[in-house]
Amino acid sequence: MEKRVILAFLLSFLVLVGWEALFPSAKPVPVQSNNSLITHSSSTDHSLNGKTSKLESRVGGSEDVNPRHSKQKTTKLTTRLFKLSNSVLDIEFTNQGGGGISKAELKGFFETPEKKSLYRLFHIVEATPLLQVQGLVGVSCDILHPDVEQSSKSKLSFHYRCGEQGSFSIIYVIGRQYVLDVSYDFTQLAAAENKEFWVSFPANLLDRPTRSSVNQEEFIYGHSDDQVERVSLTAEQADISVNQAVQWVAFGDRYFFVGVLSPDIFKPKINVEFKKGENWATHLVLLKYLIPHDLSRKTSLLSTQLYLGPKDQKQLSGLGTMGEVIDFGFFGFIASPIYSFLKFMYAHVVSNYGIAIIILTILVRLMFLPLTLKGMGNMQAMQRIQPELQKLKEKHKDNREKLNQEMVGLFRAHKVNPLGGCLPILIQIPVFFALYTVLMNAVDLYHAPFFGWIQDLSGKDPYYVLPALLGIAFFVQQKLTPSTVDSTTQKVMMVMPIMFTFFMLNLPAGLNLYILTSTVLGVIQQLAINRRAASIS
Amino acid sequence: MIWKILYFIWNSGPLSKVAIVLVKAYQVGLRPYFSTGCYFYPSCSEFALGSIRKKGIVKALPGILGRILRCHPVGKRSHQNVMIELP
Repeated sequence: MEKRVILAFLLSFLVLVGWEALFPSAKPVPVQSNNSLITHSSSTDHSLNGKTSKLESRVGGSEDVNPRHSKQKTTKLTTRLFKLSNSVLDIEFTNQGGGGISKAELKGFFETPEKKSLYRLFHIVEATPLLQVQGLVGVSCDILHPDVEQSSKSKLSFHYRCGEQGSFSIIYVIGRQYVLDVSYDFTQLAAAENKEFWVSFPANLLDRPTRSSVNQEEFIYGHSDDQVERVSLTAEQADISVNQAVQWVAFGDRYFFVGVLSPDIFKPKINVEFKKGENWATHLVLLKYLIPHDLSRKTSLLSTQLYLGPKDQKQLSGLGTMGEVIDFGFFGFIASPIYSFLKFMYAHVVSNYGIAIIILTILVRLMFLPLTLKGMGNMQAMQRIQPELQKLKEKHKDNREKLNQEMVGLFRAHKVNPLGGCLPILIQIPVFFALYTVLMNAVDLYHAPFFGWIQDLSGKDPYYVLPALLGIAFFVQQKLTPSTVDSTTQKVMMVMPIMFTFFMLNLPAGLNLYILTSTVLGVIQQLAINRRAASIS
Repeated sequence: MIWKILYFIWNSGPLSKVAIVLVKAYQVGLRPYFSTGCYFYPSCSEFALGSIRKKGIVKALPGILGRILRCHPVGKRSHQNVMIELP
């Protein structure tokens, strides 16, 4: 018997190790690659002509490839930084690499629960800023040396000259909350009509190796037909090649994202090609805009919206289908009301997400209480008659009819009449998983304190107190729960609390809190039933 | 006993293997916390294991689903007693 216990331990250890082997949490290792997605001129001396002609040749199907960083060696451009900010956002722009966004910080969020430094959404130190201009196909423009003009604290313009043909500008206006309006003005450039205009996203935008492994970085884009595609940026991801019309493109992690929403009039297309074995960091995601042909008649600018901020449903409400970056998974239809309820509790009842989670858990358990109570009583009755059942089985081994009759009699005598059944379990489990996804993904829990040592419900418990308590609670629960299974399975089940504890170690404290509350309630329930059963017999 | 389970998993088709592991995982990890008792003997999960063992998951699936779908308190028949339905 002891051997079997050891075996069970070994097997469960194997499962743990196997899991890590099958789904490793490692990040892709940065590898320097010369295979850039975009073509560039190798020297800035002919940047004006060289760049656009390269772009043309690329469009024409040439495989001529020149990495941007080789060009940087010859560039001596003094870095100038510009800043736009509102009450929630600090955005830094650079003139490097032809201009773009180099840094974004969120004023309402912090890097650590101690709230020392602002949350840095991204900080690009190489000369490949966000929304870098890659060129106008077929028109020669100096896209590396823009004139920058900051007209107010909330408005910044980049003007690019295109020789004799005119010029175009990009105007950044910081708007409401987390939205930056990015407008492209081609009204001074007649040659731009019907041409493709390319801007880029660096693919390693949110790459933060210092963050924990529960980060879940994703590249998400919304098709023009409202379909949403998610590509998780992990080492295991296979090659990606996308070249199609989109409404929006976003890079996100579990709680925050950066996304561009473009109007249909632009006919935006994205071009992504990631090859396995190379590093995400060396790639760019291209946004290709088709400039309308009736440019001169367009009075308004071609405007896009850049969202930089938390995955918060309320903030995203005005941004169309981009709201779908928030993903509560398969059981989203159950998760959404749970999430709303949690937010309501926080806003109007308790103003502590930890307590809100506890109340939510109690309510969910109460909802299923009638079913659970009956089920537990039934399991007890089943366990009581288990030995007799075995005897009957031995006795009527060959006579199935007789066995059935005797068993029915036995059940009747011991009042085994279940109320619930197996189907309700299938209803409870989705609720459980929905709660799990909500507590795993809700940005509201980011750095939300509970009490004492738990200052961040979205991070792991720093002293592993909750997972340890959870293990104990599981163990007690299992000791109390009557079981109809054989002794080996029971032995395996004794290992489960240990496995659960290991499993929960690095998961968010909020999630631990929910499962702990749920288990403790289960133990209390079981104690009550056991007492009742004892008083009956 | 554990060898028996391993042998049984080894001897089944790939789909059946997955199904068996899932059912076993349910029995060990979920049933203790969610179960509300079954209207049948043997319970739905044991029935499922038994019929996968007999016919393989593909042929067993309709029977298993049918059984689970009947295992609830709402219906014409009032479930006064546990019904015996062997796989």
